[in-house]
Amino acid sequence: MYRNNTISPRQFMYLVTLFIIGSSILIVPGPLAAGAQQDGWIAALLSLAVGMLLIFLYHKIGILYENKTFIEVTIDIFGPWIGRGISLFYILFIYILAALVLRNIGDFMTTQIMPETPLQFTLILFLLVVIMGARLGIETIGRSSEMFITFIVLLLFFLFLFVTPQIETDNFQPIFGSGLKPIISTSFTMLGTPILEMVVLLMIYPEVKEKNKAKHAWFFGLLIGGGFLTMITLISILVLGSDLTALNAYPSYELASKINIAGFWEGIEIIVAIVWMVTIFFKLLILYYASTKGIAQFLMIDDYRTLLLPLGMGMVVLAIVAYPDVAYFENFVGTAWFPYALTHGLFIPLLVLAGALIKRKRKSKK
Amino acid sequence: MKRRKKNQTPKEDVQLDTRAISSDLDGNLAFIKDTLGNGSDLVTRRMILNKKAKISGAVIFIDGLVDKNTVQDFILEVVMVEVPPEDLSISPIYEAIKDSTLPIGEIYELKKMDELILRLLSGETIVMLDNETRAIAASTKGWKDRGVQETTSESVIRGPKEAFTETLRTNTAMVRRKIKDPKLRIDAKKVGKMTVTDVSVIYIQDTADESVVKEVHARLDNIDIDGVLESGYLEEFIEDPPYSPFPKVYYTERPDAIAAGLLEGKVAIITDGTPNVLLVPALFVNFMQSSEDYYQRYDIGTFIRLLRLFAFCIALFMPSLYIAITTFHQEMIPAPLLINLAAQREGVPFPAFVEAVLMEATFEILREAGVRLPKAVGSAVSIVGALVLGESAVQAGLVSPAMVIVVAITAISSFVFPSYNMAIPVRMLRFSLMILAATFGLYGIILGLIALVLHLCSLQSFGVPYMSPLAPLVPKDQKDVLVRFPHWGLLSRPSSSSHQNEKRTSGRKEKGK
Repeated sequence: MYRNNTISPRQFMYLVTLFIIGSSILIVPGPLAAGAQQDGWIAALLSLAVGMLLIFLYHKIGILYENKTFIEVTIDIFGPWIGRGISLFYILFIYILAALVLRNIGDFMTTQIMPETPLQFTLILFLLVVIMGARLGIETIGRSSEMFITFIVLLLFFLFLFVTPQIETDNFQPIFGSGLKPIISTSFTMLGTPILEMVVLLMIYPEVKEKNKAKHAWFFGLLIGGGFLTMITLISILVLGSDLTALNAYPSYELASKINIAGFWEGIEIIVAIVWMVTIFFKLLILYYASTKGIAQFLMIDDYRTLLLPLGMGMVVLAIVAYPDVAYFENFVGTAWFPYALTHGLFIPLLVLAGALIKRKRKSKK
Repeated sequence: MKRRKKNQTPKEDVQLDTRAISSDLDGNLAFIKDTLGNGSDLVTRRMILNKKAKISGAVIFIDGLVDKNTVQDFILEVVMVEVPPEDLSISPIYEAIKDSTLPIGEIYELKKMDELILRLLSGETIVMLDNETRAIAASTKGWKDRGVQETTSESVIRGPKEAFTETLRTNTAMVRRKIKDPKLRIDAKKVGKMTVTDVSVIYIQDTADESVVKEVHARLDNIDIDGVLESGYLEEFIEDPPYSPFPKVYYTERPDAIAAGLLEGKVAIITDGTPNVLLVPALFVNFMQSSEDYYQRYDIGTFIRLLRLFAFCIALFMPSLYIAITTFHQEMIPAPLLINLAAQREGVPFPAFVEAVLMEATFEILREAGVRLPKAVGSAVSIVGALVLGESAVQAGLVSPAMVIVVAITAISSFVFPSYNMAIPVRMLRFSLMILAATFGLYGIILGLIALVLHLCSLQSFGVPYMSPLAPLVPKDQKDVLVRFPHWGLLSRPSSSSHQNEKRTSGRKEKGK
């Protein structure tokens, strides 16, 4: 009756923050520390700065056609055939990314928290809730992000606060010990996950009210999310040392297990793991919503909701078969993911922008 | 849907005759008696009004629904003794009775038979004359009612103790007495084909959201049901999406709570025959607030609200957390406590989940029994509950003592909510969370929590998002959600229910300024 499917810039900001933190908080600190040792956090800052520049590009595309998603814009500019071809790559990118994120939480759960529960059930349960959220629409997603953001921030500060006694400042010296080169090459890791993945948000950008505020919201969302990622990398290095951070599969979780309250209460890393679950949930929710919506627009289906369940079945399978083990995954993220993300996060948007500008110029000539 | 539409035009409608009142008094009386099946409580008093002109008339009322003294002193006496006036040619006898002799405030002129019957059945007294196609209905409603008493279900330490009654008029008066603003509107409605229940929609014009008022009217008008015996009937018809365990309509029997709601720009619906008055739009946070929060000082009000939120979390999550931690995540428990718990559970044959469900179910049964039992027997239940099921269950080795504590704290916490109907979804959801905890541990609980929040965020009550002002976040309204600012700090009405006339106070004036 009163339903309008829009979210406020504030909600969008929270979604960006959750999107940036989600799953990256588990994956990113390790490679950062592996590549740049104690300077991993500087690499994170560097990629954050590049991310800021990317938002200019994304915002520009987002306002090309006020109420159209990236898929619709692409089809509009390049025509139904070439446009669909380009969007197919974009959709596949989102869908595969979603499956990888789903697998991430599944791996994390089965290796760290519930080793006896089969992976499939973990994935299915998680995806069921995601499907429920996607079915309820963007408005509900935006609102629930507001409900959770406070808890996330509080829990992260809780984590930071309680590991401070274990900080050893020697761990992050010398700064710029091995020069700038490894820092720059390592920053590509975080550029790939999650900064370039932000291109997915172009699927929900049309649903944000007040576009001029939305740009700032995107900035601040990235700043907060990226800030937390940098913080957690820095603190991981400070507490665990760069070697342990690099070696551990989930260094931030290892960090949480260092919490020791008054020598009496320890082993509460699972409380901090709530942050992981909730942020990954939101990241997956956005990805899943974006991919079903994209596929619906690709196939010209009016309501994306009909696709939710069937695509979900495919996603569980894809998440399971995507990679055989964590080692393979780490290799994949280290070598293949950055170019893959760069293609879809930078080149395709640039192509679409160029196409739009040429089209506009032609129109004005006529 | 389809079935309901078909039923709307049944083959034999028991509709009253829409025929007009005829000039034949005997015929009219016979028709009324016939319609009412010559009921034993129907009183028809025939009389001759004017001996000279031989005008006969009748006074009709239903025994028990009218105030006998009023009928006796102000109708029968007046009609039989004071009429006739001297000169009938100047004013006919009907006008004379209606305009100058009947000393009763509310008087209606009737022309249709069906309206006459309806007024008769709602406790009015009808005066009819021979050779006259009009009848007079005088309001003489008066029956035995409970009177205004102390509230039983929502007691407070500080604040008014009175509660609404079963009589609509008394209830509207109680609201009117609290808010003397001339813009307080009380719209009348009748709902229910057979009960024809009086329903009043109350709001303050220019403060309440007009679209909500309109929506309330529209939804009430749409109700098609034979009878309305309690406001719960209306609630289920007018609430937004019906498939949710959470209440989307607030009800209370406290006039002060209703007045407070009206001042916030909400709309109240009073149903005749029940002390429970509905208030819309109702938001999640409203169910966490008690009117006493506003009467006690703001600091204690804030403290109690935070306490309630804490209790809400305990009531919802405590048993499932216990299950999850003891079965999946023992490493979270400090070692000495873990040893303690393990020792306690040594003789218990069940897994924690079975233990918890057993105790929770027992408690729910006890609680239900406590509500239904007569007061005299009530104490027996508490003895059985406290002694037999607590102490003995532990001694018999069926449950561990820690479980009893968990169930007890959960139970006590679920009584902290000021609204009974918010405790109901918590009671039900607790069990599903326990199942999730038993199968997936904390992972299941967190996913359950996420699903719960998603569901809550998707709800709305009369167009207002259910979780506002938390989500969507309205920073201005946070003054009166989890905390309560002092009254001089609550500068504006909550924007969720009121968009106009926003100012509540201009703040506190310092002395000498």
